[in-house]
Amino acid sequence: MSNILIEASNISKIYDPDIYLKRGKNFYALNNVNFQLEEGDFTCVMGPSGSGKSTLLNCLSTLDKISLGSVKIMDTDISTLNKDQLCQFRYEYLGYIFQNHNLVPYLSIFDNIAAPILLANQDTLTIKAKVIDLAKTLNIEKLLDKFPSECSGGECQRAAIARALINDPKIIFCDEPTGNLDSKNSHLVLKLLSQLNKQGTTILLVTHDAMIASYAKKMMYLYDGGIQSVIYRHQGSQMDFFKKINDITTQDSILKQFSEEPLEEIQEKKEVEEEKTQEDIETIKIINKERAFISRQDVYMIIDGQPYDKEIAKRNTLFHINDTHVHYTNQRNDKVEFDLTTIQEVHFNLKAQFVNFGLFSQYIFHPTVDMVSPQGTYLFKVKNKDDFINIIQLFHQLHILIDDPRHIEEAYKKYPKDYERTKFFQRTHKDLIQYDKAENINGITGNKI
Amino acid sequence: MFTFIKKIYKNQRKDYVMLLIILIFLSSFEFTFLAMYDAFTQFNLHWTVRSALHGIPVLASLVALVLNIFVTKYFIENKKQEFSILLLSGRKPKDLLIYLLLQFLPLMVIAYIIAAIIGSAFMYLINWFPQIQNSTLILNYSFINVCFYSFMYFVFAFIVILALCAHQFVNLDKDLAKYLSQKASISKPAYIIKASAVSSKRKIPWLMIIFSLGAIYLTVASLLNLLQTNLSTTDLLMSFTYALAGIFMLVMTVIPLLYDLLHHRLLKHPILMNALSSFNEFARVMVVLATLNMIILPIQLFLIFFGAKQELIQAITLPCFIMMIIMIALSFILRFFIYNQESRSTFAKLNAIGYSPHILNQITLIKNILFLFLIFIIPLLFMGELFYRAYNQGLLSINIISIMMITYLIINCLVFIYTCVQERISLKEVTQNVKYLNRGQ
Repeated sequence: MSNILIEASNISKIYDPDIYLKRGKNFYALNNVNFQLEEGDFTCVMGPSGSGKSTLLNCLSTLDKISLGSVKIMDTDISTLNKDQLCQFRYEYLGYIFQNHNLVPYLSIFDNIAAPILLANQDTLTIKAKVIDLAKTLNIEKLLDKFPSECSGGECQRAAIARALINDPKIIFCDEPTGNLDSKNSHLVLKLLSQLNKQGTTILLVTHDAMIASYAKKMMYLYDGGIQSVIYRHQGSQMDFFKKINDITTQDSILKQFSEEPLEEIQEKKEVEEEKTQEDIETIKIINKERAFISRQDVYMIIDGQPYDKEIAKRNTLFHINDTHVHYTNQRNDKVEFDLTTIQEVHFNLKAQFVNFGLFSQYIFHPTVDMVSPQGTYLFKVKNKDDFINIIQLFHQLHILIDDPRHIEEAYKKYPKDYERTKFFQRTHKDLIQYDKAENINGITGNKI
Repeated sequence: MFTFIKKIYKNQRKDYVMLLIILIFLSSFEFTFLAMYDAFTQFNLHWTVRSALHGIPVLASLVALVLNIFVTKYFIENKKQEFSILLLSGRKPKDLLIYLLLQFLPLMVIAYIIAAIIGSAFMYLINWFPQIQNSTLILNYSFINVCFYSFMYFVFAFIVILALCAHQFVNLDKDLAKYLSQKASISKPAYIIKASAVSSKRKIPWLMIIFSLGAIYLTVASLLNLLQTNLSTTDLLMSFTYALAGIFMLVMTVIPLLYDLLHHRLLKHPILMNALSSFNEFARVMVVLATLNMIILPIQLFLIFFGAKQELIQAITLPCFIMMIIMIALSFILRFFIYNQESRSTFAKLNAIGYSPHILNQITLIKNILFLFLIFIIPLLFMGELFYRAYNQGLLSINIISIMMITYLIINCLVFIYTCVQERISLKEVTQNVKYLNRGQ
């Protein structure tokens, strides 16, 4: 199993939020996005302006807070960290390259590059050697005694890249890193990033330029705050990947909406696209079979044709059950399909979550479902409320063996109302609500890194 | 154009109200100083005494005028993008002057009209204060004369502002793209690096070292000289001038040089390094106000030694000194308000690369303490020396000296607290909002 560095589950970023009373605009900059970044990945996020690329990057890089969902970086839920811990975390593991270099105006280029490493109390000679070494690599060694206002945009950007690399970060976040650079400097920077990636640094890059995206190993296309498609480079050439990216980006739905092409032609093209997407799904399914079993995923299980809670569905990944056929999108945004008849056994458990609302703070409980199949075990945290009993009954109908040590089924039958059931769980499963055991949403507790 | 101005007034109401309040205060003080000057012209005094006594309110009124111009200029400078948008939409630089006239003339006129009323009230208070101490001194002034002086000051201030803006508009017109892009927000370097941070290129800036040693020598020697009791007025003046020049050089050249020379050691202390660097930037931004506090304020006090009667000197020095401090503090607050908005993105940048709010707080605190010490406390030592001499020569009573020193300390401490609180609020806001890092900001 590969090492997951960042895992975002059903994250939403809402501007002017008021989810419960619905007084605000509730603009979803990110809507129910799942994301995984593995060690050594070079992922690129593309999308039109306003699609939420930078918001996603800011949320994943701890610079911005998410409104819903959870982000884990190296198994640490970032909502549990306070400001100082977040800073320490950023300093130790993360590097940033922004479009507008973001250098400190009153520090020289040398001091700007050295700024993050100064916090480590390293030996002065080591600091100097590191800065000079990086400056030489980026061809800015002559500018070290100058101030940002005395340098060109390209030079400042290279200094910003040097600053991002000085700590040897595990993950580098790049928001349009070549936006202010000429083509020669852009390629220089991207080659450098590719080289770093080959040496093991994980990179998450946001751009709207297909050429830049073609340096990555994987491209995610964001549209209106949601992930529309994901493509992989695999072993293909950069040129092939570039063409694939162009295909995706030119299928922009706004273009489709305002296109003057006849409907029939659009329909034909749509069919071809669907076939192509099917092919992609097949490819993903064959090559990345193990990806369905990477980590526990939050899902809302619905049986097609039966009523479901639309509010919960809006904020969670849907786990569709159509007869015995199941399909959903995993955290890597791969489409996963399997048949429930292949499931040999189901293990139920509970997870408690602390919701900090001051006076109204409380614990909420979600069942976890581990589905054991010959290929591996699918891990889910189920966001269903009262309707989870229907899912349990379906498992019984399909004669799937159920292991339920916490008697969850019994609780659902005895207390069909969510409020009563929560109280019951709180009384009977005290081990789950001990300090530091429960997860938290807008947290106060958490393990230090 | 009127609709555009109306919308700008509406959207930046808070900023305009703040500007108007500061302009009213400055103009009121200016009116009061001019009224004092007018009152002194009616006394029959020897020419040396008269010129010294005239000098105190005239110098203060000129400071008020400079601050009036300074405040308006900074406010207008902050509107570069607004002007560049107007130029972009096809307006000529000449139209911009009319736009500026329409936008700022009413503000200045309102400020000067209200100032005449508040200034008269201040004069009433100034006359009332000696009366309760059983003094017979009354400063009689001609309202029409003072209004005339005030009008002349207003015209002069407006012409200078227009000239400065015309220069700005021509620059904008010449390089519009620069001001519309992000480059316009990039400030000049805080200082010039003389000794390189790279060891192989490192050169010792001997000239700067000699210059800085000279500055330190001037400050220390003149301070020691001022402590001698039997100094003639000429020696006192010379020592005093050297001391003021020394402090100014200390702030402007010695600290950047120290930063430069000790860079190798400072790399081990990120907080101190950032604090010194940000102090250099802050001192550059506040140079006009620092000069007023470090040089003009003590000079004004120095003029009392040329006066003769304690009654007259006290009547003029106390209000002038207090009003000068208030003027400097108000202008400082306005300039700081603009500086604070600009520095938010710097906090955000440092926060993004791992500087915690706690570290950033320490950086700003060291910077502010250094500024308080060099710009406010050291000049106070010199002023204390002058007060002591004035007391010995019977020019000022101990009560007046105490009031002046306490006012100076209280107002500057309030400014210091305001600076720290505002920066703390900014830090809090910056660490909670990613917009300060984004290009769209």
